[in-house]
Amino acid sequence: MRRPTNSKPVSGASSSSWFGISPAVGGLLFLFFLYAWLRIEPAIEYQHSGPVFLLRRAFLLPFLQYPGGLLDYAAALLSQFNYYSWLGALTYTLLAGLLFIAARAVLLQGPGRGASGVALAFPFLLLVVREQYDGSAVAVTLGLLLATASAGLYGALIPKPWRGLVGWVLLPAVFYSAGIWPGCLLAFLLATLEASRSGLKFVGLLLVIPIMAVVLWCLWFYEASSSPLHLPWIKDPVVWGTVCALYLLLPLAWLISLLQHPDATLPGLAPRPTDQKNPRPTGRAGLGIPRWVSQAAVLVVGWGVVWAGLALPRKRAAELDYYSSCREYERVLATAAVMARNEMNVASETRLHSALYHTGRLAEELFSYRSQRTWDLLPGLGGGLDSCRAQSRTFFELGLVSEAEHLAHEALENEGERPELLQLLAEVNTLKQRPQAARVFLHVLRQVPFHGGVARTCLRDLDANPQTISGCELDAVRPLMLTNDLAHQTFAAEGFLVQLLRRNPTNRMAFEYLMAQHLVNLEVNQVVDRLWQLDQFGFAGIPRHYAEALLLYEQSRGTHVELRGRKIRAETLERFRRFTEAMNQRQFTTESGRQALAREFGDTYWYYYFARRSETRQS
Amino acid sequence: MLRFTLATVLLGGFALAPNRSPAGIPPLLAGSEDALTILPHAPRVFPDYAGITLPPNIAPLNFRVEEPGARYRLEIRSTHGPSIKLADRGSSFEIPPKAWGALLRNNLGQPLYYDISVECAQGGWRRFETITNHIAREPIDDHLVYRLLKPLYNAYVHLGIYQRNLENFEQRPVLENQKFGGDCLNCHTFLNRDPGTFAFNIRTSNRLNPLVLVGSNHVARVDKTMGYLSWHPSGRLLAFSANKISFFSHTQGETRDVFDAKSDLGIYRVESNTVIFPPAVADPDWNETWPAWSPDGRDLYYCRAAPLPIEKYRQVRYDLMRVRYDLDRDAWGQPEVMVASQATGRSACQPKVSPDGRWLVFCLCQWGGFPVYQASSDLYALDLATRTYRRLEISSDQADSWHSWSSNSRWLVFSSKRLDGLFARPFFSYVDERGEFAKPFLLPQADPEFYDSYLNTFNLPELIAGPVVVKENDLAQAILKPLKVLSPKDDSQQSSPAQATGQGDEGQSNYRRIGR
Repeated sequence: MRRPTNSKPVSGASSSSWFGISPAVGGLLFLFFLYAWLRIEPAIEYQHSGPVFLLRRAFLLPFLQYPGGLLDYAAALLSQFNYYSWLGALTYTLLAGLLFIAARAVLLQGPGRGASGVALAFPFLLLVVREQYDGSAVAVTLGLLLATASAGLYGALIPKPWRGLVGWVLLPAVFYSAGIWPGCLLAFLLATLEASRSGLKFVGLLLVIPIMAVVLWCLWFYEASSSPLHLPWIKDPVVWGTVCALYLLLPLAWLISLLQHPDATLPGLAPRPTDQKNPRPTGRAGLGIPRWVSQAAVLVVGWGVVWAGLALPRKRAAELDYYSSCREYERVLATAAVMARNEMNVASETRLHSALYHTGRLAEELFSYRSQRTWDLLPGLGGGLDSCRAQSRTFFELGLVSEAEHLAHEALENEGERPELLQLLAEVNTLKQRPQAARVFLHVLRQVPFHGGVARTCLRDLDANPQTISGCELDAVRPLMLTNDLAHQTFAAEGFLVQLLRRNPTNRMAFEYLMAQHLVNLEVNQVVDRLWQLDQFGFAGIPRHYAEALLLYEQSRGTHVELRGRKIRAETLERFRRFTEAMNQRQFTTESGRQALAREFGDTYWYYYFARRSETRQS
Repeated sequence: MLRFTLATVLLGGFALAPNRSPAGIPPLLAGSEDALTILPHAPRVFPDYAGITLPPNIAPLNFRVEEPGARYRLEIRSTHGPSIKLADRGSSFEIPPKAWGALLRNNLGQPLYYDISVECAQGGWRRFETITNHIAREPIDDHLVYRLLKPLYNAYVHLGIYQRNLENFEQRPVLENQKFGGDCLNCHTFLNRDPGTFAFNIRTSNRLNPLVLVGSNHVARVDKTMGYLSWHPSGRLLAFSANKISFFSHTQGETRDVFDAKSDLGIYRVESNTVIFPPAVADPDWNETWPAWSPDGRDLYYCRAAPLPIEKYRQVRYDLMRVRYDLDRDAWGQPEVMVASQATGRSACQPKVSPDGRWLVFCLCQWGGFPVYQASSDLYALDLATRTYRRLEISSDQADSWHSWSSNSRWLVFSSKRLDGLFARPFFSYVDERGEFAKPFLLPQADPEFYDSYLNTFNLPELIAGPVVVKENDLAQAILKPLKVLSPKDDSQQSSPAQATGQGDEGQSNYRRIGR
């Protein structure tokens, strides 16, 4: 099978390649697809940080108000395919493939044809952007694709007399639809293309004028706003650097090639057979290295960078979000178990606590997850806006429906119309006997791609019975809801949990959260005082952390607590004996001692208790 | 078609409907020959536009028929001019604006009829009882300015003040917060409904909380924190409240609430760029808020309550007050209670006097001074001639608040949560000479389904007599990079006690310093 060569014109691709995609490149794209599907898992990004999109005209209108808006709109639309990981990966692979074709075509048309292999770098860099989980990869790819494809089509299809005029139209159009960076890239590509083709260097520069005029216009018009800069990817330094590399790739390739062949002028798409300054490829890269070696090196380095570039902390946080939304609590715990301390945020901790509760392990393993930072089960709005979505579901399940509503609205304002929030707010309003308000949220949910069916079912349910939505937890939550009005300026978790238990003494979640809250607040006496309630909730024995708190209490008070037939596990008693011995040897006073204690007792309440007390004293 | 017309006439629904020529009638409407069943009740429509009085210059009242059917017909007719005939397979009707406008203009003071027929899934048409509305002679001010925001949150991302042309469906931003850093903006207040002169507040996290003052040929930033605003009709004074407001939450009913720990009224003198706190309306023993000048500028209405700690928020009830003011002498009278909370058992808020000086509409709610978060909030009208007040029949079982009068005193717009209990929507009501308020109707939208999925709440709708023409960027620039910054001076040194009160205040200091 004949490999495509750099000198092949785009329109004359050989029978063994399709638009310049050889089997080797096809294989690369297939690996790209598999990597995006199985390692990046677009569905995780969709749940965690994917852009909001609604299928209605009014949703489009704001995107028309600023340069780059249409690109954002298209990216938001395409990002909806991430709902299914395979579909999201396929979409991204198609975009990457198109970008590869367009980039190669552009390079082959200009003086950069000697560096057309640079196009191979695009897939790798795109994967690096994508695996940062900041939601901007599709928009970045689309912007690059639009600029590059526009330049490629311009060079391939527009006859010389029309090129100036088309360039003047094309540049503002790309600038308006895709923003400043795709506009600038296109301006550069067109200018360089014109300069290299016709030899009229200043013609190319003239093409820059329209884009500069638009930029100035935009800066004047939007002087009070940063929107014209359109830098959604500036938030993260890795994304920022990678996107800069993506945008600089073509200009650098051209510039390098131009420096190598300063007199290069191209008469059209077909290369000059007699052009001695642009010789046909010899099958060897520079420095006498065989081309296949250099390409293999690019592939190895590229995949190495991609593999190492995965933003694992972000992926894990996103996984917690995703698995939690799917109620796959075991996977939540498995992910949380490998997270480092700086990877946990309030939202992650909230999801961890929820998973622990739903798997019956809140009282057994809460302190096994040492990566927690805030150790607060219900921080409320104090946990920050980014935690509101995660917390709103927990509040709802507890029966604190108004607080859940408040936090869900905060998240709605902060994150937009995410399906999870719309569904929750529909449930909240149904419980609060506002079925018409619930319908408003469901009507919005109906406009979210892939969620229309669920929304329509819920709407039908509300038509049949304004009190409930099938498939939701409304019947479970309704008896837990507070019936008295507790006005409050700040959220005090303990007080509300106590009220929930007063309202419904069978509210097991409130009980476990209250006990956990007492534990993390070092209130062992409160834990012991509530041990009698274990009977109410059908606990067979004494959960480990409660027993650990009980042993601490008994030792510190020198008293024995009557457990009414319950027994502390022998294993716990034995560990406590060993822990006491270690503490008696003042192990906690030295760093090495603390580390030894952490290795043996890091999953116990005792270790948390003394570590927290030590921190409190130091602070 | 003949059978349809014949049945219509025979059943006495209407007299000869003008212009029943099939020309221009959609095929769906013209082609049916099915039998017609007459139903003895009106169809359910959303928005509920049945039995209302509408302005002659309002945009088409597009609506949806909430009756099952396979095909739908609508004929809108009045006494003069051609009727409007529509037919569709869908239940939503979007009325042609030109034909609608002509029909309304030609029939001032006349009834407006809606004949709605629905074809059953099994075949055969059913015609409902005719919906009859009334076209008022008096137009409504052609623009409405409101703030759009989500109903329940503390942290702002997107909010803005918008203007809607009531004669069509055009909505344009007056100012969106994304133009100046995403901060909060609120309390837009116009001088005598003039779109060229208005003020609004900015709440920022890292700057002052300034007032933006828009005049006929300038936009200025006034670096002074002000609350609720009211222009003196002369345009020389701006009454404002200085509040110490905090939010709190409930676990039952409306989730959010507002508590005002301390408030006074102040006067900003626009010409001299000075601020005063007249003792008459800035009494340390009372919390004064919600200022509203009378149209002649001789009375300032406001609300007043005794200061209480937040724990007693349920006992906070405001009286409706009035105090005389002499602009020429800059003299204040003694405050007098117009509606006592002790008598009503409820809290008065948001007084607004009609431009003809006849009526004062205000809110009464269970407690506190922020009625939009109180489902108990109803609209009341105080007859300023007789000083009697009554609950308005246009009130609902949900929060009704943020009302505003039209220039001709014939229209009242207000925000109501009556549709769903969560989202406030603007409703209009016609007010006749006797103070009767007609059934309110919802702000029409081009898409009859608009309100089904609209997550923003309409806050503080204000009628104005024309579009706001100042550019959005000029307003944003006035906040971020103002060409003109005014820092109001404390005017307490310039006024003697006797001059200030006009009533003799036994030598007390008349003005207190700003920013107590």
